[in-house]
Amino acid sequence: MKPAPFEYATPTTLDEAVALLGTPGARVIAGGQSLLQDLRWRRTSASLLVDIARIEELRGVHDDGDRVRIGARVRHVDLERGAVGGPLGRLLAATARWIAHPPVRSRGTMVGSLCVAHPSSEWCGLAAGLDATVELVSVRRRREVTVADFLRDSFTPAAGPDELATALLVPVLPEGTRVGVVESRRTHASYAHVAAVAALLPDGGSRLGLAGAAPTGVRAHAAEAALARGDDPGAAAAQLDADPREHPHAPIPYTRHVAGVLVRRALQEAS
Amino acid sequence: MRGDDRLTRGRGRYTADLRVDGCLEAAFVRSPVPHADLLGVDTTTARTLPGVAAILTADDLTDVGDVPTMFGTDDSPPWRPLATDRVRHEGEAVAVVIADDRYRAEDAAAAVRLDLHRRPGHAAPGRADRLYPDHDDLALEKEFGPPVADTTWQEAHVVIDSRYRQQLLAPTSLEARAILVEPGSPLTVHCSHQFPHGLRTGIAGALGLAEDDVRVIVPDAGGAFGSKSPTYPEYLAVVAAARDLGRPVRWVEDRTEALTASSRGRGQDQHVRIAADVDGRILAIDLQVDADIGAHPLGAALPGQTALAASEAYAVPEVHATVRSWFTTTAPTYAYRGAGRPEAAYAVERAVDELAAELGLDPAELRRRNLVRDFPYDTPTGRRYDSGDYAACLDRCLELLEPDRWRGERERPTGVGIACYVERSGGEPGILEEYGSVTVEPAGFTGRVGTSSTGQPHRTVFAQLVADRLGVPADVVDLVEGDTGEVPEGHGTFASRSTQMGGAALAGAADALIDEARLQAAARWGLSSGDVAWDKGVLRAGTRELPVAELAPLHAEHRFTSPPAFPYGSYGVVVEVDPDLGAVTLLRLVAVDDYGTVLDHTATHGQTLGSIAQGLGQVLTEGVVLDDEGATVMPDGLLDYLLPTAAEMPRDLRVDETAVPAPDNPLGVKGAGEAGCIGVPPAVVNAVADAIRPLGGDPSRLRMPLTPSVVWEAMQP
Repeated sequence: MKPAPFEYATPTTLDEAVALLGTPGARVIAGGQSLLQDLRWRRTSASLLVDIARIEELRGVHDDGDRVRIGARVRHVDLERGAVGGPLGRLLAATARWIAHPPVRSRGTMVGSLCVAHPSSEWCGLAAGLDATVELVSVRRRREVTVADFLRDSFTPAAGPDELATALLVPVLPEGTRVGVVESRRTHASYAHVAAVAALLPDGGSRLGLAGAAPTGVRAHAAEAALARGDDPGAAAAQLDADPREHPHAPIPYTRHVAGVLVRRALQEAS
Repeated sequence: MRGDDRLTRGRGRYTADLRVDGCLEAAFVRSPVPHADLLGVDTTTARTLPGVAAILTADDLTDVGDVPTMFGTDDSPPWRPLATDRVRHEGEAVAVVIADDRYRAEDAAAAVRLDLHRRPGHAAPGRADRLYPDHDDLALEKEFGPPVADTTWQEAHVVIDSRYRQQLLAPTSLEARAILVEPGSPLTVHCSHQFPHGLRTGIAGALGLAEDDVRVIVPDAGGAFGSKSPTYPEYLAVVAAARDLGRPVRWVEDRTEALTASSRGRGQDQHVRIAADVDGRILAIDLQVDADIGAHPLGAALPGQTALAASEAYAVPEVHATVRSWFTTTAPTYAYRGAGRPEAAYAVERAVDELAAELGLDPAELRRRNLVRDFPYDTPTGRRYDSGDYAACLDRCLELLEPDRWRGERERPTGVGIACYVERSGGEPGILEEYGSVTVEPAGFTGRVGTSSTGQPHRTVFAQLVADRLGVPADVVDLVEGDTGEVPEGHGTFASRSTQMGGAALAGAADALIDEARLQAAARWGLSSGDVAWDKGVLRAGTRELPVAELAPLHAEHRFTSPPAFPYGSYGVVVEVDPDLGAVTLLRLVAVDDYGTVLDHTATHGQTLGSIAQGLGQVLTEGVVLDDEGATVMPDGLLDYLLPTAAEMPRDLRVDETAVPAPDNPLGVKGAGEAGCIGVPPAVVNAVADAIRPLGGDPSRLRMPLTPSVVWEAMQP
């Protein structure tokens, strides 16, 4: 199918972009790997596409010691190739390798994935697991929203129509953190069924994120607590953290089970 | 360089690539629901939108005939090109918008309002509430072979009683359907099609034209897999639009349409019973098929192919099959690579494996005890197997599979599965003939043949075949096909018939050309033709010689007819199952096929690999997901309907051929197009069954596609 007509703008500054987002029906386009499909299928529409590809302020990765700021133009492949250092960088690179396939990774962006809020998005699982924060800018204000609040439900991020997600702010993982990520999927090119992201911190704590196990990416709090107690984190993840929806190829009990298996495997990979 | 190299280098020229001045583009308005009364079509707003040239509804096509069915029933209900008062499947075409480009056509299509009154839909085969007022929901019922005697079942040592489902598959050629119609005399139709002469007949018949008033040209076609042989309703609507507007009109189907509105393959509920004695000798097979044929009887009779194949590779005294084809509120079910044979092989080969497990016999040994060994062999359901050495094929498969290597302690559950198959190639009575001709040109020779490549290397294989026959280099032989203006008659490319039927026709034409050339040279020289020899394009008698080009124009035709051929094969698979997730990994796949004499191993190898990939698709990942009423549940297209990619192919893939020549074919060739689709699914499921049985798993819960959740559930107590 072909998309309905839309206007197209390529602002070069953030101010210009957020001003354009005041237009009723305006939408942001970054890598376009999800939005273009939705437009083509006419299940979404846009009066104006605001392409952020030329905005310098949205480029690159900046580490301030506490948090790594990943700009809205940073693509999956940039993270896959090691744009971020340290244990967090290793986890980002390992996670990026699971996303779709190379052509998608060379265009799609991490912040864009958060804004689509697909239930199977690896980035949503990782960002939730690591308690990341989304930075939103509009003509009205600049604000930060935690990923837990941002990912309210599938495909419905908590951003106003005039807000531009400019960056994801991810807490740095201390040196000595060990990381792992595993995923189940039906073909090499398909969406994840479930993905589990694990970070074992040097202080003995853990961070666990799940994608595909609930309507949005979630932090697996119960599994983390079980691990701290010496209980089976997989069972906790399956019973308490997972909240799957029925899928034609994955009934709810199976998805819960898979969430548990993958949490164990991600931890095993990390240890 | 092979003649078809340009296709793999992206230099093909497809229907969408044709540049025709003033060509308009079509977009269809389709039913969003599986079943409803169509109370009205409001095109008022849509007609005012920019670029719109016309919007046609059923009222504009009253002078166009019904859509012809290919394998329909004797009293098929009328099938109109655009729906009139009822829509009977999701995606059924209701109106067509013609505009100056596809974007604007779709904008207008989105603005057409349909007044629909929902009716209940039924996706599963079985009686519902009369999809057609004057027709039973049972579109066709047919019985093959005499019923198995009651005493056979009663006295058998063991009876296997199993039910299987053949899920609906979307053929999914790289290029979906495409047609470009230029009005005029003749009406010129460019179409991505397998059967140009059939399309000519279909269009001429529906438009009330003489066949000569229609010329069908097949440009490069990006695959078909059986789905591109009908005269589809959309084609008639586009033809009518071009005729009415007096302008060229093109329709290029997109993937969304292809997945919801186009024909599908498979679609059978199967009930199979096998009786055997204590030694594993199979006494009887009974196969009952309930097929969901969709809302129109395009392929209502195709499940008969499954019934005809019910003996598979075994000499079984009693074989009986019944086919019931049911109307369902789904897109028409039609041919898809294998077309009835994969369904039969699956039912029989799964049940034979269950029989082996029941008897505690090695599945290969059980098969070996039952294989057909004497040819020709007449099966109880009506096939005459022409030739073969089925046991040798199975033995070669086992050699490559090394079943014992995978036994014993392994890290993960591992299973070995095999499947044998026999299929039919060349077609059925009515299309078991083909036209070929060879013409002498000033610079060489032109072969013409009634087949029609949809990506197969016909130019390479057929040019070489004619060249070999004539003893000349292949580069002086040109091949023409896929154009009814150039080739007077033909039956197209499907049923793995092209080389078997078309190749034999070309060979016969080349032989006839040599005979004719010798006759004419003899006449010139005052000799008898027996005195004249053909020598690589030169006629010789003693010291006299005459290049054949000097006899131009010279032309010879041949119409080849023969019974079908029966290719066969043995497939072996080793799988590893993730015990926690149920995911299946192929450790090895062995394919040993017998295509008779092979003319071009590169071509048959490609066919084997492609059909293996599609077999893996059916068994592991593909399947049209419908709700109970027949609405598709695949919102993300090919991200939901998962095709196998190169990454899904097993790394340890062992392909071999045996070659027992086909006795009814002058070239000895049998069809090679569908093997892997037939052999792979039962072999893989048998292997997974083998892997989970020792864990207490229940193989009867395995169903295609074998998603991880299906396998995991089958492993649960």
